[in-house]
Amino acid sequence: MADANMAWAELPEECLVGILRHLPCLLDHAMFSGVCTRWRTIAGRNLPARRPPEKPPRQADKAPHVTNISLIHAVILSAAPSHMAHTHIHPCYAAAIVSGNPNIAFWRPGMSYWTPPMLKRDAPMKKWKKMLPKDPIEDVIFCVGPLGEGFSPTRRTSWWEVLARYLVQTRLPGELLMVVRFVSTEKATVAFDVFRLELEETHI
Amino acid sequence: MAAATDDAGDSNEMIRVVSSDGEHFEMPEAAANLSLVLRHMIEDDCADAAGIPLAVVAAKPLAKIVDYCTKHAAKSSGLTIEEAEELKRFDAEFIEVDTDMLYDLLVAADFMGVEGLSKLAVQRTADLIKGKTPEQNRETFGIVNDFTPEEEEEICKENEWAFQITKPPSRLC
Repeated sequence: MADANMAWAELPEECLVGILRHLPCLLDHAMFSGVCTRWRTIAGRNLPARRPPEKPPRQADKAPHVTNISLIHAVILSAAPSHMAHTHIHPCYAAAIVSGNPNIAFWRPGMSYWTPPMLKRDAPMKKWKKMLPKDPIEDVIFCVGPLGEGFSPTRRTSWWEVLARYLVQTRLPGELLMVVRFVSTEKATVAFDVFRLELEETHI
Repeated sequence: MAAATDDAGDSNEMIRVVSSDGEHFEMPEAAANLSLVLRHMIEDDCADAAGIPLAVVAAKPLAKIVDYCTKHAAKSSGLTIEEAEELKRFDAEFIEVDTDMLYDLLVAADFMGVEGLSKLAVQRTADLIKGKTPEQNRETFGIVNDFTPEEEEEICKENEWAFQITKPPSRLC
């Protein structure tokens, strides 16, 4: 089709708006708007709907909130989540590696926000920032040791930075891989770490 | 000529439509009623033996649309689970078309006000776009990159977070 170039770029606006409505993911939206000027103009006028931030009652909960999370790189759970996770019997906590500084935030079931690391409830953030490593935390593990249990940053094994983590489904049914991509200071990809998810048999 | 089904709605009247390139089609009134434009014309008594002219819809997409409407009108009310499943399968097969036909269907369904078909075509297009880079999308739809180098740079900056995830390192902006 000789004039196909014009055709798709000049699709009636209501069609393009309809298509955008089926692209709720910010990433797809960004890719859509990078196609041509007309698609970009229309994408700019039809940003994906975002849920308004939930505002928990402030007086009931004075814990600081992390409000500026734009990207969550990874979430680490202390235990497998269950319907009992919000109780004290089988508590489950989550730590997230996020963008920003400090680049870690915490959550437990029932909370409507992420909270930054804190010494005590009312300890100033400045004090905490001093105790955090200067470099961004790349990963944490949840461990139970003689000093108690908690999330602990993993030791940096290299000078490379983690650029992204990907979850990959392989052709084998049920096999899930996590691929960690490392970049050098020049932003070239230098290494991958590949992890395979091993499911434990659950006995009920 | 589209096949007319006997059990299409309560009206047995056949409605004639004429494509932009002069081909005649027939469908039951219940099927034509699925198009907002045709329904209004029928209500205004504009449907006569000569047929309703559709100036911007060519024969190829019109044949598909008549097919779609006839199928959906025949199965509009009181669907059993099996019938609903069958209609879903029909839709899935129906929309397995190349991008030229998809474009024609999008525009024609929009023009004729066939809501179900519009949704189907829009969903199919969105599915083609999902998870693709702008370059891949341009290729799929034959769109020419008309950004100036300055605009391109601006987009790169804006989408740095996204490109980090999707682009190979050599293309990192």
